[in-house]
Amino acid sequence: MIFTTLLLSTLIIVLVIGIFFSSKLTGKFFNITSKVHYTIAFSFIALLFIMTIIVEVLFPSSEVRQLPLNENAFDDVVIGSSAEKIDSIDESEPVTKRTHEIENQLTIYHDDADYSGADIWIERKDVNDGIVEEYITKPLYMVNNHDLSNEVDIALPEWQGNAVTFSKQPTFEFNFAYYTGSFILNQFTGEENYDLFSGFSSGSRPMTIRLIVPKDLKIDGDLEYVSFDED
Amino acid sequence: MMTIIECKNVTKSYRSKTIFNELNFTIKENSLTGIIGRNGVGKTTLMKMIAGFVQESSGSFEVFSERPFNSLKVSSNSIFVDDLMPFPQSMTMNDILNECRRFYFRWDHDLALRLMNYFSLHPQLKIRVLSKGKRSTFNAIIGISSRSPLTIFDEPTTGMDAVVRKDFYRALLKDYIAHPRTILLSSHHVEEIEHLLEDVLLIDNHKVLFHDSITALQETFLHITGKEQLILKHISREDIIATKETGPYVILTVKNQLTDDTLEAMRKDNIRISPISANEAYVALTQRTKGGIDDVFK
Amino acid sequence: MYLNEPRQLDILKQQLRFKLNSNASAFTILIAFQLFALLFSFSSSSSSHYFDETSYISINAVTSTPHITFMIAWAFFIGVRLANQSKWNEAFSFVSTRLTHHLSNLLFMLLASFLAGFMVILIGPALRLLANLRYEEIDTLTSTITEAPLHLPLQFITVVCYTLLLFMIGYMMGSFSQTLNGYGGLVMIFFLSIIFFITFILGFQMIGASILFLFNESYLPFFLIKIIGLCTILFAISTLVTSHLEVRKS
Repeated sequence: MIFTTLLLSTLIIVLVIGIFFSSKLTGKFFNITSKVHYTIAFSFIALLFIMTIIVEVLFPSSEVRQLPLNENAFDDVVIGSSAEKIDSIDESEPVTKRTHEIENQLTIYHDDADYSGADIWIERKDVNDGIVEEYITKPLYMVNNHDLSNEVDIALPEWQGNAVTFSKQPTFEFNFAYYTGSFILNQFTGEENYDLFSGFSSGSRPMTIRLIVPKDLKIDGDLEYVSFDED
Repeated sequence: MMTIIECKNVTKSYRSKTIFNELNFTIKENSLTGIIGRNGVGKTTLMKMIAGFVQESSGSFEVFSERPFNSLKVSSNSIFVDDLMPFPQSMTMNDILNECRRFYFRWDHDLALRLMNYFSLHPQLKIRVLSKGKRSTFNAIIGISSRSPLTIFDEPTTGMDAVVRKDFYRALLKDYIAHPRTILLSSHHVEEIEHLLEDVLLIDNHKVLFHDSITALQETFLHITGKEQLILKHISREDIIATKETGPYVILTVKNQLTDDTLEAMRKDNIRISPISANEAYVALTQRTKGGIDDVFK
Repeated sequence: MYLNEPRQLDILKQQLRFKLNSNASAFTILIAFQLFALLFSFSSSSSSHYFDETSYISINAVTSTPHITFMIAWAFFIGVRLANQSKWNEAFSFVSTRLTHHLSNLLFMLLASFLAGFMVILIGPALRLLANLRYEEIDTLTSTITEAPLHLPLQFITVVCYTLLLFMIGYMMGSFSQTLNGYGGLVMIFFLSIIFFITFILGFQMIGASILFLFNESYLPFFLIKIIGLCTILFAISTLVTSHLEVRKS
């Protein structure tokens, strides 16, 4: 917006200055005749032509960042809220799986008093083997069926002794800009039309940390944002 | 001489209002004809019909042997000039003169520029900045410089001051003499144009009331000046068209139907007989009521 | 006395030149519209998505659709202006007939469509350049001229056709506005509204169908036939409506 406002303002100022100085320099009464109008029109076209040549020389090919498509992903997404049930999480793509040896007690800490940005689930095993299995499922960010999940940085939990600290997830900012020709222009070119008027659809699912803990392991610490699978 | 305009039983009406009712006249080539009449008689409508802008309701109307409405031949050989001649507001006078040069085959560009210079019109100015009088002057310059075989001036002097009007008429006359063509001229200032006109076409009451030379118009009436009692010994009251009192005497306007003997007898009684101007004749012909405006205040 | 007997073609050429001179400001207005459309090209197609406190995605689409929309609107308004009473009277200040007036207007609209079409198809690449300057990284989702040079004439033909069509619609509206003491345009809009409403009640989306009649056409020759047919009908209506119209009626 600032860019275009600056552009427009510059153009208007140039025009006003041009008219002012034309009248001063020529010393004659400056009339906007048909000649002036056609000069402006053809100058504008010439400017566009020059810009076309420049862009075709500098950027001759169309480039599309190959963001993966995931047309079914929305089936798994609960938009705007965390997964309600452990079973609803897609287990097919864990980011990482780790195991930790923990003795009798596990203390949970959070980096930040607020929600860290990840859903934390704790599930109990049938045995007391002293091993905590950690499954981390990547977050999902979708815009118009494009999966941006791989662009996301994640902060893994830090394990030290019998304590685990869940770090606040880093801020994910993704700016995506694209140029597309108008659908009218491409009526007969065979180019795919990107229908801007249908709007954008988006969805997300936060990172899920799933801990499978021994049956009798005591868990304490900051349990506010921790969910227990009671099944 | 070729007939330029032929009008046979032409009627023009708008909804319930009749403008003309079976109008008949012809105008020959190379004549300067004044079209005169009271306000609202249809002078402008008639001129627009001649120019092909308005079509007749019935009858036969021909200009250059063609029906003028939507005729290319009539359009290219005529020009209609009035004070409202519409030109694009964004164009300068120079632009418009250049357009005229392309459209009118007899256009004299040098004359146009000289006239512009004489009347102090700056060619680079746009139409919209001109005053009413200057605008009329510019339109009149176009009318003169076009030298169209049929040039129609409808109240061309609207807004012009007296000096400019005089110059315009003089320019028109000079160019007409040098380059004869058919000119139709209407004006409310009949007294200003009567010295220009060869013929007069007087419209009144939806018809042509008079169509002849200007001299014939002037000879239609006489002014008789003297004591009223004395004059009435020679003519009857019914012959009097208009009366004007000037002290002990009256000036009577009467139709010129008096015999030579009557005129001689009146002269012997020191009654003065004088011709009237075309303007006065026109007023006399179109007077609706007996007497003049003075009678309203009696 | 020698009388001039010009050919219609000669007068048509003179009238066209006159119209090109008297309507030159239309092209400056077009440029102003295009510059105004720049604001919409860059900002109206953006969207921001805040997923939660930690994630934010911004998507910016740069497209020449606003430019085409503004150009089509411009064509409509200029078409109306060309057919209005003052332009009608101006034409008859010089040598003209109703036919030469309409034909010269048609030629003017055709030339204006070409010029405007040329401008708009070059605006696309110019926008792409500005977008590359504006954003660090930008995807180009349609082929460039280098990749598909043959798309350019196809795009040009398409844009010219739509522009000419809107010119003719505006011209017809302007012609109607001169009839019925100036209320003809309103009367026409009223009747069209009645027709659209009735067809809507009957379950037929006439407006949508009218638009899709052209937008859904994928075969260029059929599209050209449709455009030529529609423009011919609109032009014929305009000439018929004004065939007996008087000049300088006031």
